[in-house]
Amino acid sequence: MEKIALRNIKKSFGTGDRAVHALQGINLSIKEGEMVAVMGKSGSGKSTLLNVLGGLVQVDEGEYLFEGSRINGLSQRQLSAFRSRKIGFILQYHALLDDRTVFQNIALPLQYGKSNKNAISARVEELLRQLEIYDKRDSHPYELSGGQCQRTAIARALANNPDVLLADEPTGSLDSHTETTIMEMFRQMNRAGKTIIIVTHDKSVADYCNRIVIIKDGMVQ
Amino acid sequence: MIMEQLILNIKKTKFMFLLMIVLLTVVFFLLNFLFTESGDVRVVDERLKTIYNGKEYFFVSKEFEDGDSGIFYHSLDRLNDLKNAQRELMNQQIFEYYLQIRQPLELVEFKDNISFIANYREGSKDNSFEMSGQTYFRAKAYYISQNIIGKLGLNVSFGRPLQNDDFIYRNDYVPVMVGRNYADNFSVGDMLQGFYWNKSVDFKIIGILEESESMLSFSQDNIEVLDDYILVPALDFPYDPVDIHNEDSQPDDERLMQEVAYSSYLNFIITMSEGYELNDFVAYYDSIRSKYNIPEYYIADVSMFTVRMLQLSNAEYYDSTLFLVCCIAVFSFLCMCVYLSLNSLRNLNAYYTHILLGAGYFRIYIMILSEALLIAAICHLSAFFISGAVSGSYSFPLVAASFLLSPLTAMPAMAIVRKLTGTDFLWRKE
Ligand SMILES: Nc1ncnc2c1ncn2[C@@H]1O[C@H](COP(=O)(O)OP(=O)(O)OP(=O)(O)O)[C@@H](O)[C@H]1O
Ligand SMILES: [Mg+2]
Repeated sequence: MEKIALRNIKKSFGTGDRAVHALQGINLSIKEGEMVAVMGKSGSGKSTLLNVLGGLVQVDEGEYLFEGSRINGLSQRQLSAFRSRKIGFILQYHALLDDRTVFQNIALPLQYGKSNKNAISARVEELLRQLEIYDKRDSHPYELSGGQCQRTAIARALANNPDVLLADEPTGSLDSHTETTIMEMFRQMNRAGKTIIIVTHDKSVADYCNRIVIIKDGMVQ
Repeated sequence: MIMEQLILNIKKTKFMFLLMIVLLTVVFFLLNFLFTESGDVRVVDERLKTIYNGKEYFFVSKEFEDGDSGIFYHSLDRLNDLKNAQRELMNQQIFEYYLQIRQPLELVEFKDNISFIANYREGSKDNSFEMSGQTYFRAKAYYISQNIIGKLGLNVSFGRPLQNDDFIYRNDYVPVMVGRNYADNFSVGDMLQGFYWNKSVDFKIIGILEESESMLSFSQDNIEVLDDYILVPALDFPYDPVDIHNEDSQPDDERLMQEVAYSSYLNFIITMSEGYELNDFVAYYDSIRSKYNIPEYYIADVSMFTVRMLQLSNAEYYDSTLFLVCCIAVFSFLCMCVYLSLNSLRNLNAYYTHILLGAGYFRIYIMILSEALLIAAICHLSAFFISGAVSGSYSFPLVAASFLLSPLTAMPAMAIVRKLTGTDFLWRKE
C-alpha cells in the first residue's frame, strides 16, 4: 500500500537571482513498511525533502499525499497534529533538549499527544527499557555519549508509535560500532512495521535499507 | 509543558530577566506616580499652595517610625547629633525655630479639677494610670521653647514668666507656668510631681498666667485659652546624661529623657525670615538632615517625599518630566521587545524541537506572551507595593494599558518563531 506520494514537489528559498531551487520537481512514492535511504551530494536537497515529508515546510508547487490525503495546504494546527500522530523525527543535531532529563525528553511528544500522566510514564519506561537506557533516565543529554543521545532520540521518535520515522543523518556523529547498533535498531523497527526514511551520506548505512533514492539538483535520479 | 519551558527559559536568563523586572518596576512606579499622584498634579499643587501660601508659619514633623528606633541608638554620638541639629536649627537666619508641643503632662495625685485633665472622659480609666503605687493623671499641657513666650506675649498675674535660665536643665526641679484656674488650688512655689520626657521629676510653679490668657496653637490652628493649661519649658540639656556611656545598662531615666526630648524637638514650627521662601527651608533642612542623619519629614502634613516628587513633576518640569518618563516607557517597551526576541533566538532550537514533536506554533506564542505578561505582572506588583509604601494609590489605566501593550512587545519574538521552518536548522553551511 502506498504510504507516501510526492508529485512534482518544488521548493525554492529566497527570490530573484539569489533564489536557491532546493527541490525542482520531486516525484517519489514510498510504500508502507519500506526502509528507504535518501542519498545525494551536500546541498542536493535531502534535508529539504525530509522537511517536506514532516510537514515542516510549505511547498511552492506539487502535491504531498500521506495515506492518500493531501498534506500540503493543511493549517499549522492540522500539521502539528499530523506530526504528533504520524511522524517521528530523528536528527543528527538539535535533537534533545539539554535542560530536560532523558525521561522528560522522551515524554514530550506524549505530552503533546495529550496522553495522561500514568500512560506517559508507563510508555516512557517501556521505551527506556527497549532502547537500553533505563539507567540514564534521570541524566541530562550533555551527560550522555553520542550513542546514548541517539537512542534517546529514537525512543522519543517512537513515543507516539508513529507510522513513519524520518531520520536525517542519524549516525553522522557516531563511531562505526555504535552506528551498527543503531542501524540494527532501525532494521528491527522496520521489521516491526515502521516505514523508515533515512537521509545519509554513508553507503554502509544505505545498505541496511530496501531501497536507495538518489537526489541530484533537487530531483530524484 | 510549555509553562515548564517558560520556567526553564527564565532560569537560563536569570540576570536579564531580573534586569527587565527592575527596569519595568521603576518605569511603572514613575508612570504610576505621574498618573495618580500627579495625574492630579495640579490639584495637589493647588492644595500645597493653599497650605503654603499666605501662611506665616509651617508645622514640621518628622516622619513616624516604629518606636522611634531610628532615632534612639543609645549612643552618645547619636544623641549629640540630635542636640547639634537642634542647635543649628535654632541659630540660623533663614527661619525662626519654635517648639510648641501639645502633649499631656503626667502628674501624681492631681484630681481636684477635671477640666485640667487632657481628654477627660467620665469613668474612663484612660484619664489616669497607676505606677509604683501612685495614681498619675494626664494634665493639659504645652511644651514650649523660650521664643514662643516673646512671640506670643504671655503675661502672668502671680510670680514671673519663664526666663532664659528656666530653659536649661537643672537637677532640682523643672519650672512651669500654669493657667489662671490653677490659682484656686495652687500658688506660686508649689511643687508637683510627675514625668518630664519619661523621667520622674518635680515641677515648680513659678508663675500663674492672667485670666483668659491665650496663645495661637499652631497644631490646632486656633487660639487656645490657657486657663486650664500648664506651660512646660522644652529644656536644653547642656550635659551628657550620666548613664550614656554604659551601653549595656537598661535605658536609664536621664538618658531616656534626653533622647525623647531631642527626638520630640524634631517636631517644630517655623516662620520664614524676610526674603526667604519655604524652598530655602527645605534646602537648609535637607542639609542638616543629611549631616545629622535625621529621618524624612512632613511640612504641614504633606510628606516631603511627595513634595519633592511634585516639585519634579511640577509646573515647568511637568511637561519635561512627562516627556522623560514617556521616553523611558518607550525605551522599556523596546527593551522588552529586544529581550523577548533575544530569548526567542536563543531558544529557537528548543522551540524547533517542540514543533518537531508535535507542539503547535500557537503554544510557543502563548509561552512568549506569558513571559511578557508575567514580567508585567511581577513589575506591577512590586511597583504597587512601593507606591503603597510611598504614597498610596495605583493607577488602573496603567495596569490595563501595559497588559494591552504586552502582546505587542511579544510580536517581534513571535515573528521570529513564525518564520522558523525546519530547513533553518537542517540546512548546515559547510
Ligand atoms: N532555510 C534556507 N534558506 C535558504 N536556503 C536554504 C535553506 N535551507 C536550504 N537551503 C538551500 O537549499 C539547498 C538544499 O539544502 P538541503 O539542506 O536540503 O541540502 P542537503 O542535501 O540536506 O545537504 P547536506 O548534505 O549538506 O545536509 C541548499 O543549496 C541550501 O543552500
Ligand atoms: Mg541535510
